[in-house]
Amino acid sequence: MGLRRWAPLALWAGAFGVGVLLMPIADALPFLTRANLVVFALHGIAAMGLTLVMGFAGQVSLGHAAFYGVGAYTTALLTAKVDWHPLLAMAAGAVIAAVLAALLGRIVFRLRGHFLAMATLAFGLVFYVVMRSWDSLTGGNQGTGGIPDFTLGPLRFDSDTSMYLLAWAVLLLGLIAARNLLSSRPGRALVAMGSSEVAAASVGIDVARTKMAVFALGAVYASVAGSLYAHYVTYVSPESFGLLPSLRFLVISTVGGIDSVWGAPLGSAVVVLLTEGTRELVPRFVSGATGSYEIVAYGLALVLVLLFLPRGLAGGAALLVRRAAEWAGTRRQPAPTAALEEVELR
Amino acid sequence: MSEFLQFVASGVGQGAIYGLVGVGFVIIYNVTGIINFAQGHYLMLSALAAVSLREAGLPAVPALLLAIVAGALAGVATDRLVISPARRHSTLTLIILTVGVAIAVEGLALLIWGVNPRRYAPFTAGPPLEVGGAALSRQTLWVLAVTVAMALALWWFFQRTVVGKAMQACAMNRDAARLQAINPAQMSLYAFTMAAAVAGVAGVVLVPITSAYYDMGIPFGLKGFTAAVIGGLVSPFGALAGGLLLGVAEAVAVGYVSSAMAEGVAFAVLALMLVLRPEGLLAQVRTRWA
Amino acid sequence: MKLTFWRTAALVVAALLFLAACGGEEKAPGTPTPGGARQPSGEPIKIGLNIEQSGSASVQGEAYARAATLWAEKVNREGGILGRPVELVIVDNKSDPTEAAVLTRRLVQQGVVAIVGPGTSPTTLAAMDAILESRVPVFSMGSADQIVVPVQQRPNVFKTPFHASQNVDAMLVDMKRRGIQRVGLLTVNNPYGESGLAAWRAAEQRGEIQIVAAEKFEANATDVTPQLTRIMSANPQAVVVWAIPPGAPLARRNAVENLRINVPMYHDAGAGAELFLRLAGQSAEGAFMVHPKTLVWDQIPQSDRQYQALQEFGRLYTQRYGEMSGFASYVWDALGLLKAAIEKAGSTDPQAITRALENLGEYVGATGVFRMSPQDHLGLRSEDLVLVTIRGGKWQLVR
Repeated sequence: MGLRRWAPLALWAGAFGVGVLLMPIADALPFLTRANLVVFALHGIAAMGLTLVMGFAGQVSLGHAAFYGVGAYTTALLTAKVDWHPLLAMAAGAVIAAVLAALLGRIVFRLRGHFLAMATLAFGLVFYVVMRSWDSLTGGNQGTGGIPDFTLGPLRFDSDTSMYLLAWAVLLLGLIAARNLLSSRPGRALVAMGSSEVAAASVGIDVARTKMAVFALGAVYASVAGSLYAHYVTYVSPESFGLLPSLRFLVISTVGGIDSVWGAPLGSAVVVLLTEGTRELVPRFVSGATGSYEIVAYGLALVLVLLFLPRGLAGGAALLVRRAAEWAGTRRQPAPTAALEEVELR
Repeated sequence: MSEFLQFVASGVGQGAIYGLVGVGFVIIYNVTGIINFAQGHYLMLSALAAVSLREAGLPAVPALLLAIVAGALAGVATDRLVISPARRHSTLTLIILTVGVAIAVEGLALLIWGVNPRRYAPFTAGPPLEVGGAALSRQTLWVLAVTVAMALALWWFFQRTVVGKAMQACAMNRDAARLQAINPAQMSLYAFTMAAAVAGVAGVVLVPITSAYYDMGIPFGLKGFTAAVIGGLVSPFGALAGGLLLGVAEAVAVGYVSSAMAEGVAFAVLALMLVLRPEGLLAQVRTRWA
Repeated sequence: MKLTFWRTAALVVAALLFLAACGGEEKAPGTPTPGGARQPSGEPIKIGLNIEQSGSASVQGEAYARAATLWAEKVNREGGILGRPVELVIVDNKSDPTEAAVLTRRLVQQGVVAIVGPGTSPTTLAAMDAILESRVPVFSMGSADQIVVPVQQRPNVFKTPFHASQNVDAMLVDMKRRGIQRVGLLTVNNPYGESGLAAWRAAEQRGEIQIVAAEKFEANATDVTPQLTRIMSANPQAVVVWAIPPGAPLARRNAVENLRINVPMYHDAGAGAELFLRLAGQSAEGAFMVHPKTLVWDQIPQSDRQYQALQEFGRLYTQRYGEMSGFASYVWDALGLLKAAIEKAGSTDPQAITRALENLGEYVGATGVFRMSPQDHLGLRSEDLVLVTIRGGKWQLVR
């Protein structure tokens, strides 16, 4: 009995350990630094919010970086200008992001189809323009700086290593929260919605309301990541929260796979490896190669990953495990959903 | 008054380009369900190809036509190399695949043409025309004439040709179309080719107004998508109208609101449209493209 | 012919080869003359370049990369630094602030003794934390003053481009001469334009000029006639355009072709040198530009202190690349300053290089005459800027 109670804790402690182990790995690889790990963890957190929105509410968001920006700018303004505690500022950012997302969702989820994609695109772009234009508040194009380090009691997160460990811990907390949520009653509603909206509605789930809640939750993940980003870089400018970063989160979520909450960290790791790997490797094969070769290689790699792993890495890994199990002859009763997936993937 | 006319004249010229890019979004979205993020990149490829072919010594007309063909071929390649092999994947995966295509194409353009913008001389030289005190450059007239010609050609295509009607059928109901022996894979190829060709046309008429550079794909794709959404994402003509509205809204915003916020005004129009009239401006053409 | 996957792939490859052959970028192949001074030997001195080779600032980044490559070839041909060869580690931060910060840390980890870049204000400011922690001397090519001010908080940060305010000062000198008191501003809506706008606002505060209209435009705009119409309706005596290509030449063309603006138009050094001429064509005639002397390097008289430096840089750069860029000399001089400092310090210890830079005295570069000190990490004066104009499709030195 005791073992069962402690097993999840041991599992998460183990997961944290895996994150710690990534540090010597990054140090050993010539093209990675611990700064890359920080970016990996921050983007992983933000993309996890998007994974929830896409995987469990079945909606695409093209403006996720705006919520990342809400967190970053809220932290920047509240800690640098009025001296709030980082945690309070982070919470304020999360609340603002959730409220904005809920308002947006309230308008959009009345409608069917791809309207969230378009509405979030518009929201993201308007946010970007406002950050660039509202000079007195945001510093406009020049951005705003002087953001202090993140502190937690006596702990001060001022180095790559400490920042990475903090971000990785937050990422795991996000994972735990998402998993617990998905196994709770509203969570099961979500999963039901992911498979069939009509079916979910027919058993009494308020689809629009649930979608709105997921969307707001996704925004909170992005906002928290944004707050940490602001403390890490100590300077924020609109460039980091426009369309391209939104697309990057979309890529991370899709490459990682939207069927599992593990997809986001996996996808984030792959994107960092692809970016830095091509930066390192391409010049070895093409002498005098500049940035452009890396971009081509990155784009092609992205296309190839998605062509061969359409359900993302998490989906691919799950399929691989299943195949291995089948091959080893330990196949029991094949689940009907698995059979369906195989048909689709053939 | 002449100031207002000037804003409208500038806006219409830009808006026509947005509309032409938007047409491609509508065609692809309706036939395949995909939002194609590489849409603006076909415009970029054709624009840069036009400059290169002209510099290589080709006369203007074949250079421009070849450049449009180059853009269309990029559309063919997108469909055959990426979309077609992934036919069975989810629509979401297909959308992100187009992001990958966009990134790779932009990188290729950077490799081939470098970062510096290139210029292409206006089709006809000469001072701008005066319309009620507003200056309308000759190239803008070319843009408008070509846009009108494209609109007519699209109308003819969807109304009078078998392929056009088959694509419309696909847009209305893909499964029913398949029952009528319409091959969706073939329709997807046609959709990508056409969308790329129309964007290519926009690219070659646009270069003389501004210049051609490798990263012009994303901004024009974005404006084109906005135009398509304003038009309701159901009809190519809606997209053209949406583009004109967007262009004029931007130019008038520069004139009467704030030039720093002009882009924001354009996107706010998009947001308002979504809230107030999500079916788009031209809802009545939902069931017919022409 | 049925378009299968492989047939399409073959077609694409053929098309790419064709484009690469006929389309390619105009590049004059370089002819690095072998021999010369003694060959450098020993362990290479690594200098990092953290620049914007792609993304929104790639026009700048390309000039930076060209200047750096050219400089390294020259220095290694002439015996290296302290007899050791120079090795440049060039990385592309894609004009992305986060990447610029991460790459700064990566370059330090790779053991560079100094970093040149980031090359814009937002990438530099985002990387500032990493730069300060790195302790290695860093040269930014960003225009914002706060990159090196206050100097106590920027112990290892230097920059080579003139402050935006110095560009404004140089324009003001000419405007006063022409009796211009009311200007209209057209700035690109990005950090580059913003720094120009801020400098003009400061000049207005000081009562040196009256700004009757200030408009912005997006970097990828296709038509800025509406903005210019607004500016002209405020009746300015001159129009100042603060932008890089393609925006700057586009503004000039719209102004001349569509609106036939008949007041003087001033551009800043970012407007693009020969790229400006190519893109603006006929309309470029008569435009004014405030620029370091590099643009008219072959018209600077022998009596000028920078004559030698300009001859060397101008000749090498234009011979290799066929044209001049307003941005290239910033990296050229940053690297030159580093070389001088390393030689003065006699070591490649980062702290020693930083101290040597602050005590270098006068360094005559192509951009201007640098007088860096512990109080001033730029060391340029606005008198080193010149006013040029375009006549007959050629740059002419006005003053």
